[in-house]
Amino acid sequence: MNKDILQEIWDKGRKEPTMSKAEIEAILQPQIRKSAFGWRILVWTYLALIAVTLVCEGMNIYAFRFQPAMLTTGVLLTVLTLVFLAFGVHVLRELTTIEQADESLVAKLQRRLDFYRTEYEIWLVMIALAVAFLTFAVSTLVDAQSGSYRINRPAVFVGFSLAQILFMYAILKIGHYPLVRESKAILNDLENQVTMGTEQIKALKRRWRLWTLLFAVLGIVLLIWGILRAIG
Amino acid sequence: MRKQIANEPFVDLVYEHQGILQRICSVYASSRDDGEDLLQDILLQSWRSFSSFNGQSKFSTWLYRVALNTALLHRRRRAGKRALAARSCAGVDIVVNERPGRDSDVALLHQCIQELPDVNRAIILLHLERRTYEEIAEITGLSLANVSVRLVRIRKDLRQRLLEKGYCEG
Repeated sequence: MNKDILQEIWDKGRKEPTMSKAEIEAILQPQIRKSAFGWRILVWTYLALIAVTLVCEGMNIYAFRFQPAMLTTGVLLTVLTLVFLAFGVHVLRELTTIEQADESLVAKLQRRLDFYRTEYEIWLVMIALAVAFLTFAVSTLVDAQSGSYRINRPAVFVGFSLAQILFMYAILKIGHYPLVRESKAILNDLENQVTMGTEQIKALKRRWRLWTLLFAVLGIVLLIWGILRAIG
Repeated sequence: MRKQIANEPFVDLVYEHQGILQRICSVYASSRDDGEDLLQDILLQSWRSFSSFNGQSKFSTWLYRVALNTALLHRRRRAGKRALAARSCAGVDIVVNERPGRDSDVALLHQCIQELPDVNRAIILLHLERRTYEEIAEITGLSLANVSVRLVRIRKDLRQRLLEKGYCEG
């Protein structure tokens, strides 16, 4: 058996293309296209979250204009939120550029991984912080009493905020991790002539699914326990 | 020449080169449904990336790059989307493992190719599609030497798999 046999069999399997132009256009219909924009949904959700946060922070600045500590905090958070907004726009632009880049597989994967290791990582932290900012802005707005706000238990407040940020970051990181691993494995296969990468990734995915299941079960158990305690 | 290609409507270009998409789907899809999903992904990704196509390389080379990139990172779609894809891709004929009756040798070869690691599938596909080593290197980003060495290894592996699955020469 030689190369020509492989080629011969391959050629035998060739068929005349059967897709009409109308069918190609049908696949590109807007409603179908919309559903495929996975990462765009995340970015636009983030930008919407930032917009809501800015509105709440603006209201807070006005509401606490006579309380120096809260005013300073409000202005500081607003400035940080504006930086997050600018970074979100940058992420949107970068992801679009990566997606549209006319490059080889290696170059594209490398560019994607470089982005995931640097700017995307920073962005994940920003999302977690933005959620905490929004929570703070909403709670201060709701709890404002005649232009003043007081944190009764600062230690609990700081602890809760940190836990919230860490939890949010962990969720985002876990959701994003398989894609990074997969990109790394393919790049590894391409660059090092090591063909085990993508095989290993399958095993990793199985382990990942198991962990996800375990966490889901744990979450449900905790939820039920909480409800039972509340009832009891 | 560059301007002429750039002005061609996307659908017309894809229509002319749809064989590329179908063969990539046949190598990377695990079922007909999956093939339809993958084809949809590739078409959408190509459409979104079309603005970056500047005519410096052949359209087929560009399409291979985009399509393989998408295929390598293809995610299995949810079952809910399958009905939509089936309607949209009604005229697509994708050769996959689940239809071995049409031609046993072809089905066997596809089965063997599908058992290869993802990256090797891309390389052998390009090779069997009669792309030159230079083109394969350009599409994948590998060096010419690397492409050459890999192809020898993949062909050997593929032949071995074919024999193990009972392929009889002649």
